[in-house]
Amino acid sequence: MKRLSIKHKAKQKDPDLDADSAETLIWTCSACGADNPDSKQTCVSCGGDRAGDSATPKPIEPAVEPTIEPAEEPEPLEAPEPEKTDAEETPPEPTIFSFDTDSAKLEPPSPEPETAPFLPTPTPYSQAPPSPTVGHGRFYMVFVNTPAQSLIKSKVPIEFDDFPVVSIGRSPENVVVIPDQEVSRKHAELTMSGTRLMLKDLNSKNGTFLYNGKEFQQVHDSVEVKPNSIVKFGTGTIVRLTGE
Amino acid sequence: MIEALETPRLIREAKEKMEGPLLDSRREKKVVFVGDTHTAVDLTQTIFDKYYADSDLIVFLGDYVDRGETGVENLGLIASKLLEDPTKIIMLRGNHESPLTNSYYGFFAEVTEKLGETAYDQFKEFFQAMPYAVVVNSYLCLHGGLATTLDSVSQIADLPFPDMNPDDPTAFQLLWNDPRDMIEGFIPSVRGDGAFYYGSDVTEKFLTNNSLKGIIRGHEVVDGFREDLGGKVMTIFTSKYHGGAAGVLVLKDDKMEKVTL
Repeated sequence: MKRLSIKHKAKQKDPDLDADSAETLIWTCSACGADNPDSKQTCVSCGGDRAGDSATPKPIEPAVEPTIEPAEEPEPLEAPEPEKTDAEETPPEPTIFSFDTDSAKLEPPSPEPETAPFLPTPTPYSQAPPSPTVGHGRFYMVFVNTPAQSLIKSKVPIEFDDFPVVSIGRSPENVVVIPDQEVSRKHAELTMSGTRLMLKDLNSKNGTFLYNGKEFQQVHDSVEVKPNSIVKFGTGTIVRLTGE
Repeated sequence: MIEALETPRLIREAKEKMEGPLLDSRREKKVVFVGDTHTAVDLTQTIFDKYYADSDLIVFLGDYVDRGETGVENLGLIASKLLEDPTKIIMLRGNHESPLTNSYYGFFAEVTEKLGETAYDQFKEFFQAMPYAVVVNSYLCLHGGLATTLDSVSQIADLPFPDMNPDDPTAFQLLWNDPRDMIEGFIPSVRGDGAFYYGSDVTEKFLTNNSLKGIIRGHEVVDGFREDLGGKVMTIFTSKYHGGAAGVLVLKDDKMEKVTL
């Protein structure tokens, strides 16, 4: 495991990093010396394996070490997804907030971002859910993190009555679309098996991971997920699956 | 406007005013909280023009450099105001006040270009002297947030200091962690090894145990502001490179106002 390399050199532009609004840690390839975002398991410059990199200093003592395995087969290139999608974020901001007082009006709300063109009915996390469907009960996917910051806290209903197989991925044809370059076009799917909620990774490039309370463990094929499970798709998107 | 060549002297002198990892708690009538400015010296100047004269305190929450071309001037401007009245300006440390980020996100190159090959060393010295946190009017102010190993605010005063990167796991998390009120406990962050998201339960517990009203922090790109935990955790972003709004929080007579610049 490695944290950052400390190098003094001219700034390098990395489109993967620039695409993300939140910066990440960096590791340095021991083969070619290129800087790489922490999310990459192989060097963006020479393709070398991060695991073999020994040039990067070790962290002092991280409390938890995610075990993220690199994915194997690269995806074929196709038309790129939008780099970043702004979506409806949270409910309209109150014009004022006051931690400990009763009161009054202050500033106008900050401008709302544009609405996402293709995310299926994201609803703010704090809003009351719509009425439940008949049949399997209702599940939601709450975005804990994703590169499109405006989606964080969005709550997407999972409708098994409408879609027996809820596909998740970067492509618009999925039931749940995640605008994240590190998420595969067809990344994973959710299904109901009797009363059990099942999560299946579809041989995604950067993997699907289930948080076990200590670390994210890679999902191979299919696993049962309990309500309130935390799932990571690829390297930058984390959701919480909640149920009613 | 501060010239780049003035900044080394300003930060040398400002470094002498720094008082360790945790500053003494403050209670003031009017306080302005400023999030990540990331080289936006024009916004920093606007903040001083608008608030310096009639505020008791302006708290900068870190990340003055990287992601732009005027980090040297931005840092120099804030340092100059701090020297003008050290009781009125607090410069907290962000994760970008570190060699860990400066070589990749542009500040090292900027310093080298404007001030020469060896100039960066004095910036590192300044960064590692910056405090991590301060409590102002019962709000914990810091760049990132709570750490897995942090039970009380007072622990921050005992962290290894100075710490260049920092390498201490607690100090690292104070600068790198993010709040997420839809989770509980701490879970690993996508930012990388050693960074975490802190959830609603651990935040509530920390606030209660430390008699705090809330947390005011920066670190994330948001459209000016984001509230977590019903407004108990406020994220402020005060730069415009992301194409969104830049905001500051103004606390006056215990009322908090969001102002978009």
